[in-house]
Amino acid sequence: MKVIIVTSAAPFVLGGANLLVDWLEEALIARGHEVDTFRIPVDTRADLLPAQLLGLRMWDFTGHGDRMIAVRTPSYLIKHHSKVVWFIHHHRPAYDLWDKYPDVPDDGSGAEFRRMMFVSDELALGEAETIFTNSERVSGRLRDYNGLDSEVLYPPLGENQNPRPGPFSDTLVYVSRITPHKRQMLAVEALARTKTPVRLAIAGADGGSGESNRIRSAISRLGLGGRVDYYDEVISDSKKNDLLASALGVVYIPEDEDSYGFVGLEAAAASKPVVTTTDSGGVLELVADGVNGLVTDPNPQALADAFDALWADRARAAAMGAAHSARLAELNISWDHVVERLLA
Amino acid sequence: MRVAVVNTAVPFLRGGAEILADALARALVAAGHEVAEVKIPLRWSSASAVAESMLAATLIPIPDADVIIPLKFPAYLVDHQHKTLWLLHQFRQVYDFWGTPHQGLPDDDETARLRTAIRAADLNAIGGAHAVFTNSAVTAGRLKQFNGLTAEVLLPPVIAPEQYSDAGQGDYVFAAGRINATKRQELLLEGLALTTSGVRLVIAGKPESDDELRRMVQFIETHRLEDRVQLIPRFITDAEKRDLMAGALGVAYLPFDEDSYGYVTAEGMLSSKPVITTTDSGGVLELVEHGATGLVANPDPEGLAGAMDALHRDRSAAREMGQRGRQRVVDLDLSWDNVLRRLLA
Amino acid sequence: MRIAWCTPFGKKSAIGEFSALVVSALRKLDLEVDIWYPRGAGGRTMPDHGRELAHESGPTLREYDAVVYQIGDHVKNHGQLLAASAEVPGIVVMHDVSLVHLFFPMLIGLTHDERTELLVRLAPEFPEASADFAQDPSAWAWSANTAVSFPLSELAMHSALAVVTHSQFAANLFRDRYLGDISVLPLPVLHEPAGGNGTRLPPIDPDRPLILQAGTLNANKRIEEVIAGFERSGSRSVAQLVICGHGSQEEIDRLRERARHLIADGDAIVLGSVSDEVLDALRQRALVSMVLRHPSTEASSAVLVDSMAYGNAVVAVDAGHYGEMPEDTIRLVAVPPDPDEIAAVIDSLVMDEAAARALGARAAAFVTREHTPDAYARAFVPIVRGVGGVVPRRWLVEEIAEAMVRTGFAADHPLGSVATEMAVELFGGTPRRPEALLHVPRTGSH
Repeated sequence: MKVIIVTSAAPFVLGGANLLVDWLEEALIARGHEVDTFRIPVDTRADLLPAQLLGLRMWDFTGHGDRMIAVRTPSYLIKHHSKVVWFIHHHRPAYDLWDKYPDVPDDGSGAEFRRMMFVSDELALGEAETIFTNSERVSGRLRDYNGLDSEVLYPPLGENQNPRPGPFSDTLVYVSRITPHKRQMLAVEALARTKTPVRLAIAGADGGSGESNRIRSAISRLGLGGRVDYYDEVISDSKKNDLLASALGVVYIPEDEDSYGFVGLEAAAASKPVVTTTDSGGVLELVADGVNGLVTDPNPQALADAFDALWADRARAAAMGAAHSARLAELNISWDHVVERLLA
Repeated sequence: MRVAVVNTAVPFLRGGAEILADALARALVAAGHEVAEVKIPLRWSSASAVAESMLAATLIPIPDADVIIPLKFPAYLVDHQHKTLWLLHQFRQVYDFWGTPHQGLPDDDETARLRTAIRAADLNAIGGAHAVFTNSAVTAGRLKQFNGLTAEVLLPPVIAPEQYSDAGQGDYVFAAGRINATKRQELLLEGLALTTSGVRLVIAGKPESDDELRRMVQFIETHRLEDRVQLIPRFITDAEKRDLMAGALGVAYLPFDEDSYGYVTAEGMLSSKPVITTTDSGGVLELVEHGATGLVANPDPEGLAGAMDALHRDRSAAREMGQRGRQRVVDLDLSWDNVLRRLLA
Repeated sequence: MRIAWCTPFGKKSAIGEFSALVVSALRKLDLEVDIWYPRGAGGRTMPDHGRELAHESGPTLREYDAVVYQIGDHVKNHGQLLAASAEVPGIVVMHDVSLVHLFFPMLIGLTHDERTELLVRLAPEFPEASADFAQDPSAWAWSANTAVSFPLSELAMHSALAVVTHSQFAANLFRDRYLGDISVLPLPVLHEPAGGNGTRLPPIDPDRPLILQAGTLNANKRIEEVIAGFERSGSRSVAQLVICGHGSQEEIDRLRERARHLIADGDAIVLGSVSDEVLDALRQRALVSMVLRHPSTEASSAVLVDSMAYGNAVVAVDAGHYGEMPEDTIRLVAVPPDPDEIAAVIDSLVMDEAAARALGARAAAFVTREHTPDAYARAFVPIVRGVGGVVPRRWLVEEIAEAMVRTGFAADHPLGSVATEMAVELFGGTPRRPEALLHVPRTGSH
């Protein structure tokens, strides 16, 4: 089939949803489809959005290709005779994060802006043959805010990403952007309370926020220097795969995220258990406590106990790591399934 | 630097401009820049479709780019304070195609208003740009003639110039590239039928239609040219092309009215071969000078026959033209380094 | 919520009376409202004295959560408010559909070059009006045609966060000229029957039904047609026509001359200006009130609602906002007002007094229910709370306008309408879950 993918993308910024589109492209081409992708720059400033939305409405790919897949908002405004949407999240300043963004004030102008976002989303999404989302949470939000039904279609890891299994060392691995939201600090505080010699490897960039420095100060202050390998940068895929291969487990404890992200899938590919917390959000759709990982309360002691538990029982860690593939199969997390659904 | 390469796109249509845009992006990345490739759609089935495409284009924001490099209409309508055009195409339907069968739009009020708007938009977007380059003197000439705007010619680089070499003068003229009516390989074939020197012809490329192929095969049979013409009706690899050029007497490239000089032209010249072309080929004439770097014939079988025979009969003149041709391309520095230097100045 | 209510506030100002009533009603709804009046336009004491707006009113007005500006077609009363509204955007209450007289002094105050520049800019959209203005500015300003065709209302609404007016007729005229929300609120009755039994009647015939023609004596009141109609009606010797209202001596004399036969026969009286008490007494006494306006350029009519509040059987024109009153509360005549039709309507009311009184009673019931300061205030509150809705629409329009300029499309190119239609389709819908527009907790949290 000839498939058009449209998505919005902030140029020069690499992000999760861009990877999703890259991997979707790869998966479609690998299955013999012809793909043309449009990555559309969008400026999310409130005063500039309405005009951009109108501009996108003037894009019309009707008659081209067999299917158009719209990924990030507001790309689904584009017209096509056979449109499906793989909805990742709303323009959140107008929806659930309204009270956090100064762009959208709590007065008549803010209310009107939000109304405009709601109705334009509903019009455009209503044109889709099917709306897919990347998590139950996002589906819930589409239903609660926009009264629209959607099908959960979990995004898999890219087919050319190759974390591999390996032995279970002493080290738990946390590879992710370094932000307060991802709570690497909490992992460090937990490590300080562990009783076993379990270790941590943290890798990622903080984008200049200074969070890395704060975490490293904490590591030093807590005397954990010898137990934490800190890679203050975006590490290469091959380095990441090496870390994963010999990991004891993978730590992923963001605060209240919509979807499970890719860290959990990397852990699954490497057959390592995931340690997460009850308030981490979407990753809980992937990880079930005691099955393919451990889910604890979001405090340092509870996490420390989980870290210790894995260290002390490698066999159990291995068993949980092995349980991922059943879980992924259960959730239909595969490109075959994704491609089949998106092109149906 | 953060550079956005902005091109106009129609889904699944990929031609020379798209290849160039991708090559430009890769060259920018190789030079250490952060690059975004942005595609802007164009619908041209009606005046209102064009108008909407224009408005949609100008509403696309790329504020984080330090420079944007738009290549075509309406991509260059994107609003940005540092626009460096490398203009491949304007909307020719309202300029040089107007009043010809390629006009594409009806001659009515709506189209008249569109033409007015495009003129104004072009003046604004191109006239107000930081710098304007075009891919050929032909394109620059049109911009001057219709919009009164001046542009510098920036010839697209040759891809992998280092692989072309001279392996000695053979007895055949070589024509490479996809086979269709615009590229006029059939005309070349007709010319060969009239030659008297014994010169041979090698044509290599995928025919765009079965009819085309059939006609050529028929012609060869009818005129009993089987041992004078080698027809290779498929895509050839870069290596095959390189070798065929290296051993040729000369290279022929005679498209009808093409803006750009044609990669084949430069590749042939880098292989130190004289180039045969025609008076109405367009951008090729920027590289091929009659008697100096090749032969510019009248676009008919007699003219082409004369050119092919001339090379065969005076091999030393042919060699000299070939060497001069190579020097010319080398002097032009048709490299990405040169292109980036000028685009990012 | 703190509101600045900017209004003329002189004793004789009808808008001042309106403001006094509405502000009192708003205060009863627990809103904090301060009254501000332009320089030299104070004088009332109820519900309070209000305060005079300084020339530099910006800093003062910016302190409020919302500012409301009364705008009408009178420069002394509204000029300063207009200027203030441009500096501190707020809710504009349009009392008139045409603001030619408000802007006229500013227009003639322009230098020749400024005027030329203005005309050059306006000429493409208003070719005739521009030509007329260029030729004879004064005649242009006072022509009723100008009021309709070149109202200049958009200049007053230009930066308004919301617009309020008092009839659908006015709203329809404004809709083309204003991007944001236009709300139609019913003009409150300003004068209800006073206590007492109207003992200040002038010497009218106590035995005859009274047909009242009250209001400033100018041409669009069609008093001559009323006289002509009454003359040829069968009610001539049955009822009595009382004409009163402010006018020059010349105008009063002219009317008396025109109605001399009626006056001679005691069928009509022409009074000039009368006091509020006398007017109140006349209205209490009247069976029929003639409220003809043609051409009709008002947004609404205080005389209309007041006459209805008195239970008069009102006769108005079937044009402008008059037709917006419920059918069974008013009698309408076609425009232009025809004396024969007027005669017929008068007869139908005078000859069936019971029906006329029933009509009047229905009119009174209607306006005392719908056209009250309380009803106005209640409807006003959501407007104040929702103020600013026009802002995102303005962002859209401005960006698109700039985009069209960049792409060489003139303002009147069809692309503009295409864009507008697309915008209406894209943004004009109703949310599927309007309640979700209120802040709700995130799905699945905790």
